[in-house]
Amino acid sequence: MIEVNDLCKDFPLTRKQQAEMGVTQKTLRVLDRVGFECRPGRIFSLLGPNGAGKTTTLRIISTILSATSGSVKVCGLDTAGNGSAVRAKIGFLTGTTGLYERLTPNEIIRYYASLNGVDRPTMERRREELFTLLDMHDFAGKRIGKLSTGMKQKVSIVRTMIHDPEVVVFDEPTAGLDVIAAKNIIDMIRNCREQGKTVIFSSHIMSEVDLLCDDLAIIHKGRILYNDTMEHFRKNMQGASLTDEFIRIVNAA
Amino acid sequence: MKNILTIASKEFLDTLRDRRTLLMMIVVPVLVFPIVFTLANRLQSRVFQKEQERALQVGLINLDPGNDLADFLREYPGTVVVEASDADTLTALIRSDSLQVGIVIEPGFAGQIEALQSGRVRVMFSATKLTVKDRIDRILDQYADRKLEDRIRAHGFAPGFVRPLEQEAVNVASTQEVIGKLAGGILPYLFVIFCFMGGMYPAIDLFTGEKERKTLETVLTTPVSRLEILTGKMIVIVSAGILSALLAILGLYVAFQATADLPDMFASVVGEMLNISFLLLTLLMLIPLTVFFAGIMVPVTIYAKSYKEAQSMLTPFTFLIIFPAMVGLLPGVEYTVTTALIPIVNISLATKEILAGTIHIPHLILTIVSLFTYAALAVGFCVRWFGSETNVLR
Repeated sequence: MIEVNDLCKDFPLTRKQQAEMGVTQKTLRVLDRVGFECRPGRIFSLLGPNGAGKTTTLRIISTILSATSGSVKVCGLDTAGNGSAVRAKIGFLTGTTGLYERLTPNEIIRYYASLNGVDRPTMERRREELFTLLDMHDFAGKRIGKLSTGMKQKVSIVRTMIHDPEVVVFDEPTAGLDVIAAKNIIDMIRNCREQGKTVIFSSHIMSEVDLLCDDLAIIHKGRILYNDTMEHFRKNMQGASLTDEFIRIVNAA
Repeated sequence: MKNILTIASKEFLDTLRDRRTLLMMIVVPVLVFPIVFTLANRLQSRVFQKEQERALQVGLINLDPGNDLADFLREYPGTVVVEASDADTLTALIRSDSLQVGIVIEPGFAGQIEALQSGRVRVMFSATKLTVKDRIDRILDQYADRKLEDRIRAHGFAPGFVRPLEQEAVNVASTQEVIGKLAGGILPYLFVIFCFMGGMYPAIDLFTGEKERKTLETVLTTPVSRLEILTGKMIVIVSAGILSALLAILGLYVAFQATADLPDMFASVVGEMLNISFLLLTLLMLIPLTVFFAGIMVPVTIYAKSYKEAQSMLTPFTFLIIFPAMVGLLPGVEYTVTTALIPIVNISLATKEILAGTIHIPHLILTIVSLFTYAALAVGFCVRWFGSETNVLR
């Protein structure tokens, strides 16, 4: 469960940035009273154009960034003051694979399992399960630098899931991936729902959102413009297609 | 603690698989001195031998035909005397390297010698040829000594007549002190540089490199605290710096032992100086120094957006470090309470004193305490810097 209430985030502006933007204020508000709820066993999508505030929101949920005001609760824990406990419940995956090129998948998975406090027998069991599920045994001992993008993405998936997190955060997880690699991610997101996990993922592609999500929030310039179920969105849309409806909502803001 | 060790061991593994870091951390420090010493030694020996073997081509203008200096020069082993017509021709021949030196025996030379005066000769040479002036000086000095002996004998003087003072120099400094003061200036200069350079590439790779490859963000989403991440990474940076400096000392030791032309006494004294107690004392100073360096490098590498940016931001620091490290090479800079407190300068002077065997223990303690203090301040700054989301996710 993720509960986001009245979330605001200000970033400090350097003098150079102030001059470039032609403003005198020392901070820039990138999130303005953002609020939504993600429930277990459902897929929540944060949809918005580039620079809308999606990554910042997900980073605050993952406690990499702190909120200027407002609150975020993950599995009942307030992210302010419970950073480590919150992160222990989260798996975080981005489109950029973020792996160590000189290590092997085996070494990377052991490393992240250890950082997430997974004991050795549990780690070995889960690694075996996930490697078998994703057909990874053939390249488990090869260095990441020698693997294809699809293989790397599989390693990223195992890295994210090795500690069996209750909440899974996907930040534009299919960005820059080919169809096959993207399918691995989509399958994984569905798997998470089936396992009753809370799933939040950000995207700027309406078709991807339509394919997966149960609940939807549209974010633009740091504000939530729409927040309801996907079913409701489809039922009440005024545009000719889902994409048209998304563009209509953003342009109307 | 478990998390710190997990991070440190992973970073060690990753670092040891990086060829660029490995080259700067291990290969360069180990090989640079043996290679430089061997090449410099061979080159110097070859040049010196060549110069010695080559006959000294002397151009002669004899303006006083009655003297015996011209014959002395002609008969001197290893010289070839060529008669020249005038000084301009002689100058041109020396400049074109056809002759190495020119001697003009001035008019009245023989008469002056006969009258117990100084006979005048003009020596023309090119200062660009390093050994030529020394060779002709030795020849002319022999001629002058021979004339002096003739004069002493002819007048019945005792040999002490022209040398009223006979000096016996007694050096009270031990060989270790002499060599220690000389080599002690160079040694800290070298390992301070390697301490910095050895830690620089891992620092860039472990912070800027991770930012660039987007791996830092994935580590930040684990339950591990930022302090643990920072500590784990700094252990690797500090170890790399120390390892690099120790390998440089080892390389220097090997170079000394392997250089055939060094006097045996010099090599054996250097061998004795680089003993266990020296290494332990050096290590005691190297550890806080490297932590201090890491404290300078890490904030820069956290702030930089790319490997290139980090490299260009850290390069000026190399020059800032070289200057105080060179202080140990300057004559007259003493190891006092003040200099014992200045970072890098203190390690430079302390090493010199340790090697010479004249270290003042209270000053050494002051140096070590101050180095640990600077290291603690630098680490404190790193912790604050790494805790700032603006710097880490810039």
